[in-house]
Amino acid sequence: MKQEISALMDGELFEDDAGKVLDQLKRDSTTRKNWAAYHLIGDVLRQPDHIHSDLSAKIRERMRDEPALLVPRSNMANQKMRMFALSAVASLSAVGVVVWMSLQISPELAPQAAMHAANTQIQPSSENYLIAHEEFSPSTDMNGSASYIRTVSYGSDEAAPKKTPSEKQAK
Amino acid sequence: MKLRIALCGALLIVANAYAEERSSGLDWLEVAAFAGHQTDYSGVFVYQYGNHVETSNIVHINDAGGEYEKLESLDGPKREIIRHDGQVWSYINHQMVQIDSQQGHSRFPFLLPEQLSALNTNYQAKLLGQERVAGYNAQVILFQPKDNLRYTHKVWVHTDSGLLLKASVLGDKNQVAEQYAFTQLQIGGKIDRSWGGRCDLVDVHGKDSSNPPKSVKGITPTNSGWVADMLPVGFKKTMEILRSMHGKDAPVVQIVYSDGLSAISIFVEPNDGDEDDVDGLSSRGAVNLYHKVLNQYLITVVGEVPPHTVMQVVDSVRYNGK
Amino acid sequence: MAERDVDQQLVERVQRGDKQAFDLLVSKYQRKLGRLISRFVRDPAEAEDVTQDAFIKAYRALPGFRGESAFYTWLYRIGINTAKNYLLANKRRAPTSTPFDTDDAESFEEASLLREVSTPENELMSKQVVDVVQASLQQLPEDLRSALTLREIEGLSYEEIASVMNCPVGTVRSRIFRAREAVAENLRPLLETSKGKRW
Repeated sequence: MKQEISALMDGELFEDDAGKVLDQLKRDSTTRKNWAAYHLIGDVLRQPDHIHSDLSAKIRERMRDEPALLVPRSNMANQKMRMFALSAVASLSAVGVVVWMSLQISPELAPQAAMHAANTQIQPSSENYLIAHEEFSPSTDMNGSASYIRTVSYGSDEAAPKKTPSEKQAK
Repeated sequence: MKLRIALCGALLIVANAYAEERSSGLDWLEVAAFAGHQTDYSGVFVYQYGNHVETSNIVHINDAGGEYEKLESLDGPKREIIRHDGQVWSYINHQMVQIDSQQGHSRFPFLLPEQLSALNTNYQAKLLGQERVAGYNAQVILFQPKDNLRYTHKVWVHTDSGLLLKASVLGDKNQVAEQYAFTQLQIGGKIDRSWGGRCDLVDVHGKDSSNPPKSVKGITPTNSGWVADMLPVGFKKTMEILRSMHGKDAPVVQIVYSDGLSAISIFVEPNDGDEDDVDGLSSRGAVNLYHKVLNQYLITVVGEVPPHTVMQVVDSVRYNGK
Repeated sequence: MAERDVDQQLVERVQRGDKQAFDLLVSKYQRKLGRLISRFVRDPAEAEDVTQDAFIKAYRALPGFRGESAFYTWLYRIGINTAKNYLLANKRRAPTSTPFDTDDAESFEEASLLREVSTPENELMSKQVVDVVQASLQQLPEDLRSALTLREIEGLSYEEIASVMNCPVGTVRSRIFRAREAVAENLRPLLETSKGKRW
């Protein structure tokens, strides 16, 4: 049985055998201890600096007040087959949405978009706008200061905020 | 009849599965925004756009003293950005300059509920499975816009800590407009504090006592009367302020709109006649900028949106006040 | 049956009313979740408390879990949310002082509970566990040690390990088991003596 537990936690048992081991785990506390010990070993090997004392007894204690769950079968976790069958349909409908959306866009924009693949780099004299913009952009929330790298990017030596009005870049 | 019922049922479930995937994509984003502020980390990341590749070192610490972050370019002349809570300093040319001050900008929550719901309306979130970035396992999430007025965003979120490991902005035909990616990252543990944190800030101040940090004078909410009629659907005004800006004597109006993932800023200021050669479009990575002179005013639109969107917005800016 | 499916099976059992199956998920994920939460909540004792809360929250939320994502990503998200709420609540209550220095009874009780977790004794225990595991690993015959390391640290499947070690899959399976069992054998006295605190 111990060897089956070891294989089960590695995801290397066939479904029938797995069911038997899981039943055994439910019945037998020694089997559960082995399960816990094997997992502890794995965690020690992976993250030796983050081993804390066992919380399972405390959690079991608190679980005593929790009701057992009775989730209707149709709502349960193992719905792989259905999810798979549906995802094909879902992606079809996604295409539908995209096509519909692109029809909504005013037609004159498309050629403009093609014309203006902006190839001019933002001038250092305009960087203050960038900085002021980044401050309130959601991308700053996500990327943190990384967003500001745009503003300390190329040619930034001249971009040091200055009082002399715009040293014009020769054009 | 039977068939029709089955079909209805199937559609309902499809809608459900759809909604769930979408919301779990948003969950990840929320987790990432949160983790980005709360996690201590240090590492090297690469910022790429066009042919440019830049490598920077970043250190982020959040402790009792607040949130500190230091970014240092590893290529070219030394440039640094230091953030402490809402304040941003830049260390360029041996001078420490405060470039931003988000007064009253709270550290929580990072993605506001309104932002998330806006995001939900304007983008379709898709979970794309898992990939490895900088040696960490990451969940890949794609945010596809529902029109061609914004970019596609693809993010890689560390499944464990929730940190953003990589982010790409994709233009049409899915070419990469810009990309951030960690190439080396240490999460948690002992972060080398000589790199960042309060001491370092003080240190820099001390060295340059002849050049004390210059402060941004202030930001006041305003109702300027300037409007833009042609914003893409879903961009909501998040603020309208009168602010000082470096290199400008007069205060500048800034109006910010956001669709949850990207923002568009409109700047309006008196045209001092000096800037008439700046007209036109320029870009850096995913950010596009357009200057335009309108009567006595210089209008500047900046955003992480495609060039045609910036132009569309610029052309629709007008004064609607009394 | 892949590792992810094992979690699904356990989740399904919990959803059918088997509370013991949840215990197995706790013993599997408590340290991973604990590590994640400790990145947000720095104090080890507080982090352990938040980890407990997160598991209870996960249990209560399990009826809504349908397996669209892997169980562990779902659990991690709950963990992060719990940590976030904890930090928010603490911020509101006592922005600078530690949360345990008030004299109202409830928080006193909470504090004593937490202190118990991080007694030097417990920390010593954790260190002993780590030492025993690492020492036992070193004593293992080379082929057992490699098999276990490839599995636990590199995360390879039995089939991949078989091709790396150039042996049948059945041998890999038995080597990994024997390695685990040998280490567990050394660990058991330690785990048994701390029966009260339970590992």
